[in-house]
Amino acid sequence: MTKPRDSNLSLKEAAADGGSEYAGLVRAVQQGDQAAMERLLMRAQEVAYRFSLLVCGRADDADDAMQEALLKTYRYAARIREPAAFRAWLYRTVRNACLLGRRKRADEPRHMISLDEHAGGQDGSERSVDAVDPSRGPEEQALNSSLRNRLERALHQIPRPYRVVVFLREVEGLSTREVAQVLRISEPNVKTRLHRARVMLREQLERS
Amino acid sequence: MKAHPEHTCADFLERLSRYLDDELAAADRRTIEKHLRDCPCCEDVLHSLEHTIALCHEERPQLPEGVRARASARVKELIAQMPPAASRRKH
Repeated sequence: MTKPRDSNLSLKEAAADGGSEYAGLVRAVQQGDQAAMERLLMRAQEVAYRFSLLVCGRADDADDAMQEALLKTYRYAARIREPAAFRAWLYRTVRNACLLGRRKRADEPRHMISLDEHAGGQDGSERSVDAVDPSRGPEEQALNSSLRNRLERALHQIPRPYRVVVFLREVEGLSTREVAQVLRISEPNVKTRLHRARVMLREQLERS
Repeated sequence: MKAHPEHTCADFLERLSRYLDDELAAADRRTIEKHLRDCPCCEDVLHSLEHTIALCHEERPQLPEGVRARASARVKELIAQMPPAASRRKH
């Protein structure tokens, strides 16, 4: 008999751990810890990068969003009163930065990119988003890449309000409460969207 | 999928996410588990949802090397602007 997933319990723990890790970094920043600030600023940019690519599907938005997340985190981290609220603040900031970039380009034709096609630099020097893990054999890497491409395509087939919930909850591991704070919707609404998103994603994956 | 006197499969499917997330009351969970034992279709849906979620958990791309280098350079540039007092409090 199937039972509630252990992996999901792990996800809940991971969500709590992830939030507390950010909070710990923010507290360290407020004590003047320069290394903590460096880690926080890198994290902010990584979040912006993933959000841009997986939710917005645009490489050019990624760089703008990364810079916006970087500057706002730099200005805000030392002043936030509730370090535990930092992670939700960061994702909300990134989301707003990505949506602002999208509005700026509203007249441009829609352009979806693949993570594996993403060139990254202006010169197109990088051909893959993922760093190669030497511990994985070529067959496993190819299989993972294929699955990732399928998921990525499926993600972009579902409407953005659902895609963003899947991204925040399943990919990034935010708690339901944090997702509600990021999107400024109720927790029951998050759960409803998440269920519909999972169902849509499953259907898309089965079609691919 | 079969119909039940008091529930349809659609009713169960609506609650599968909450079941997977362990958010249902014990009685509701038992009802769903009983239905899953009787209904292979719903059980298949459950398994494919689990698979979908597991795929998402693995989908966390790292920064490509060039992007990481630029991100790191921006961080170093900002850190260099931090007030000396903050730097002195380090450690």
